[in-house]
Amino acid sequence: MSSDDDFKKKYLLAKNHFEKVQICIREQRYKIWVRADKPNLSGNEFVNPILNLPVTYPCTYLKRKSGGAGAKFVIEFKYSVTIYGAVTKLYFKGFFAEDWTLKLEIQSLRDNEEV
Amino acid sequence: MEFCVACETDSVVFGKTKIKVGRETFKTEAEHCRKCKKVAISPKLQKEIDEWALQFTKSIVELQPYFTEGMADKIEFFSNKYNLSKSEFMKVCTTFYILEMTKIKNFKSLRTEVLAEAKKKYKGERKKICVPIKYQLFKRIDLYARAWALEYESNVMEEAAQFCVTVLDSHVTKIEESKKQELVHFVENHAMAS
Repeated sequence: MSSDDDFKKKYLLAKNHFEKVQICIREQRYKIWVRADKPNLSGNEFVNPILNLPVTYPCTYLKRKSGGAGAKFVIEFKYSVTIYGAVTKLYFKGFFAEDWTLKLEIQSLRDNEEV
Repeated sequence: MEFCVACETDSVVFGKTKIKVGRETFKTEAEHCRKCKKVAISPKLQKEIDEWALQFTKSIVELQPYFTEGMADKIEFFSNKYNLSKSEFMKVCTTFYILEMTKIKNFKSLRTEVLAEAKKKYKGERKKICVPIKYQLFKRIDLYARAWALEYESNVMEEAAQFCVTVLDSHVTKIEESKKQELVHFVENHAMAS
């Protein structure tokens, strides 16, 4: 993990928001939102494959449904990972918070969903 | 209150919260949402949970897989053969299945084929076996269940035991003999160590 200044420099130099997502993941500056009664205890297995996607990976930006601090949009994209021989399709939703951390949620998609 | 990325409302607060890990509860202070009840886990917090959970000398959860009478008899047969308790034998099978069998190139089709054979071969009424497990295995089982979209963690153990017993018990053409021998050695080594 880089110092705050190094991290901010990398973050600000990112070509697009997807690269910012990758920087936050690489620098461990993220938080995964999970169910408190059934948390995903292996979140990294779903998050780390995002680092292998190209910087130009297609994303959708949606205006936030509420006001407040942080980025005014939510970033979304679909991707797939192979874990224990299973190809799992995932939906990623992220938000850049005011404290420079990426808040994210990952959901599984049905088999018939396109990625 | 801050924005919750999960339910997209301004309902996030920082404070005391509880995270369920198996049948135990990890108490901490973290960001959590008052509306959707989700909690934010950072890599640092995940490390803390892992360290806390690994301290338990007892099991962190008890799985209750169901097996047909035919399968339960075979589990008993192989447990006796390798001088392991039924629950130990199933844990060894589950570990080998998740860590080794899933590495096989055609695992998806093999899984379908072997589990179908198990269903055809081992019949009878279904009965429950209780298997206490520790955190390290629980975490792997949880991940496998998510990857393969299985509803319960106990389904993973059912699958693993059925798969391994069928491989040990019969000639599965798609599985190389070397892989079967690897499983036998894995079980034998574990029996020796326990």
